Amino acid sequence: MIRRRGASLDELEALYRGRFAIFVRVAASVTGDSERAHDAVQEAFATAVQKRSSFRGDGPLEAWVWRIVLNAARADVRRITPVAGYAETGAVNGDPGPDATLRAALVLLPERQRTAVFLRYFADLDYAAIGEALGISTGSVSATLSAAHATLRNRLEEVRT
Amino acid sequence: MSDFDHASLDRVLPPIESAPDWEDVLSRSRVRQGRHRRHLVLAAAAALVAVIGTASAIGGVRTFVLDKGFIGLPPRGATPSAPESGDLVVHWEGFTPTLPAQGRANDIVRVWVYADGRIIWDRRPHHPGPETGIPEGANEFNSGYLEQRLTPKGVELVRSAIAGLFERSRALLETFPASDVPLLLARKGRSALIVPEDFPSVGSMELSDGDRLLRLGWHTPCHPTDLGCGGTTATAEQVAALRRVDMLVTAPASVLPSSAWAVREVRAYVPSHYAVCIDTSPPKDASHLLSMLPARAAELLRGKSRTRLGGEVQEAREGGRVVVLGRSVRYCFKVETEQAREVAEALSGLDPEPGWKGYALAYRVAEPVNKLNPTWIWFEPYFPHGGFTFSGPVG
Repeated sequence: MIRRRGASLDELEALYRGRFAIFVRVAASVTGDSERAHDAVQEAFATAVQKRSSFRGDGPLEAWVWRIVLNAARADVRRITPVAGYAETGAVNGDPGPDATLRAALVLLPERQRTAVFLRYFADLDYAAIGEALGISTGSVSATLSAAHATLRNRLEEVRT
Repeated sequence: MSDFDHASLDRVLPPIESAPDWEDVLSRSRVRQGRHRRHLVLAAAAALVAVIGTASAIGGVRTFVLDKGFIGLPPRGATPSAPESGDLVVHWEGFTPTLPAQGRANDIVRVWVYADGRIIWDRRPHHPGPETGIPEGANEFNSGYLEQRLTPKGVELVRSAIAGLFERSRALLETFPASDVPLLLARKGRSALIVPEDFPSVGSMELSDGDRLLRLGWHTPCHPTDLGCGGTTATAEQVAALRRVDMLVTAPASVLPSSAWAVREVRAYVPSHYAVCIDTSPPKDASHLLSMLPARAAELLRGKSRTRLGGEVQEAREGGRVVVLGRSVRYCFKVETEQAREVAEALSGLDPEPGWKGYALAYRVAEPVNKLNPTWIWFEPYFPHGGFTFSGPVG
């Protein structure tokens, strides 16, 4: 297989414009705050522009950029204490509702499991791309998602009982 | 079904409150590249100190890309624009209708586009101030000459936009030798387009046509007694096309697609040669003019390739009529940048021309005679097509 070297500015711009909202919202699952997530995405794409010649083409460009975005978001978390939780939706009659329950369960997942969940079920990445983005093997992606499912199921069971 | 689905994850994630801003991404990238370059320069300088063991050795070898405009001569070591020569595709200069007018007049914008992709430009804010909007600019009066690079597609986009306007104005086109030296905004003419009063007052554009330039000028209605007054009233379509082209050349970053840019980062245009120009009234011959300079400066310029220009007609309004006071003559000597530096050093005993501060490195050689202009000497950068322009103040 002939591997390409480098990504073009046009490709990066198209990816940015086409997937901006997905990048920011998944980054927010790491930073806990959409404003900081937006900043992390801007920084990450600036890095991608600067280092685009080093993209080796081992996997999809999007997976390479996801890795940079997640690293930028994590760097933001290391710098600043994250804001806990995602969107705040109010409880109805004291019942937190299914979204609030799901949100609470997601917040309690380890960061890698949580990010894998968002990359798979929100950003629609396949296992190989998730592995590239998280810096783990495809087999580990499968194991990570299974663990996330198991943890979540247990948490939701606890809430129901 | 999975425990997770897109819709439920969509509801738990915070809503997005910001819009994509690709320009911001590029700007952040540029800032980093600038920092990276500076670090490299510092690292290289440190390495040189370590190897050579003496800081004085750096002066002769250090080169760098100048990321800010300058007036006069470039700092020593600034890397000249490459290649040294290039084919001019388009030249444009005028008061721009694109940038917001502040008060009565608009900013002056000049742009040169080359076949190799270089786009060289300068801008003069009508109201100088720190908020002129050009971070890479030289000072509050003048951006200095700045350079970016287009892709072949970008060059063609600019060229075809101007060619389209020329096509609609064939009867008004004038042709000039490609070596003609355009004077800053001093163009009117019977073959110009007359634009409405609400259009900025004057401008011209040129398109390469082999070894000739096709030129189209425009100006607002003028008084019939004014010198050079004349022209044909522009149609609404021509005015609209003029506005579109102005926007293209004045604010290309906001009009051209990303694929039109090879280097969007702005840097100083650093020439390889300078024209050392002397303007004097009434006209004198070159040897007489050289004898008015400090001996060392005359010695450096004597024998150099020179261009003689008609200079400018100096006029005054007397009793409601415009009368011609006289005419100047201008000689420009071509020298390499390092030789220009030597000439400047030889002129350092003269008084700097105060009205030119912020626009060009200029000195006063002799006081005015009979209400005419003084005798000046100043430095003009050569452009890749082998021409130069006028960098002094307007008016």
